Amino acid sequence: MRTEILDYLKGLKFKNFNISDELPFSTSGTAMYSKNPKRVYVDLEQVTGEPFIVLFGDYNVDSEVHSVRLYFSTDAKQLPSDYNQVVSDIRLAKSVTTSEKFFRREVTSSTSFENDLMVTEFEFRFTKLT
Amino acid sequence: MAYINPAPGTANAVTLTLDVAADISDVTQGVGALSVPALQDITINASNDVFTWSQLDSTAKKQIATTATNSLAMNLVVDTASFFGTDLDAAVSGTVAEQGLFGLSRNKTLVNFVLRVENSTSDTFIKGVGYITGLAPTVSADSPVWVSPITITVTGEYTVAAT
Repeated sequence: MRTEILDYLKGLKFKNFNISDELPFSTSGTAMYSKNPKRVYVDLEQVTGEPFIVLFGDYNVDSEVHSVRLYFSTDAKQLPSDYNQVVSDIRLAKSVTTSEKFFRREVTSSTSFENDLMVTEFEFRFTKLT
Repeated sequence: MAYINPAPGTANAVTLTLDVAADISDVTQGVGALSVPALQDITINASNDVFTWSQLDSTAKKQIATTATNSLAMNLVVDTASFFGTDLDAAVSGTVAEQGLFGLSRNKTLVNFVLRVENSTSDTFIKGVGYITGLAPTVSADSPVWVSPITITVTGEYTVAAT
């Protein structure tokens, strides 16, 4: 999932933003996306499973949610001119072509402030049956 | 007091097997009986009709039970083989596995059933003969698994046994 999203983002070719292959790790307590504003970081895929239909017998129908988080930071005082377009384009990654059948695709985006930076965070959730 | 607590996901917690019945008294199943998989829930209905009348010497109505309407109602996840059968063109003379639940309904095949209610100490078996009806397979975009209600409308009495 992370690979598909990264490929999609690289294909967008933003004017003011770059896409990083690196993970959004922290050094000395500072996350990479805070050190490098206007660079989009894609975290590793997280997977959670839960019963979807509980049945008598030996098996259940389970659902599996694959979630991927993205981060980037920008100057909080002066937003880049294409900020809204970038957010809008990144959100469209929920419709990225996947090899697996995901029947539910969701995305949430949120912002927070770290000193003079505004951090924009996305969470993509792709749900499939197993 | 001991309650019956089947655990979902456990083999044999509740099992329902079906076989083609020779007549309305045939509750004996062969080795080829179909074990209905992927049950979500099951309800045993035993509904007695009641005849009610009033008497001048009583301030309360009198009632007497007459005949019962019996049926098993359940929901299941559609399993291709057991639902549609191993022979899509199977007629009423086909085996229960060949006809599948859909074929048993379409062919109006008389079936016998054995519902096993597993208990920690001893199991209870509810048996009878009836017809498959009430199939309504459905699927939706946000619940993309075919599920269907199914009713076995029972002809005659239930038989309750320990084996």
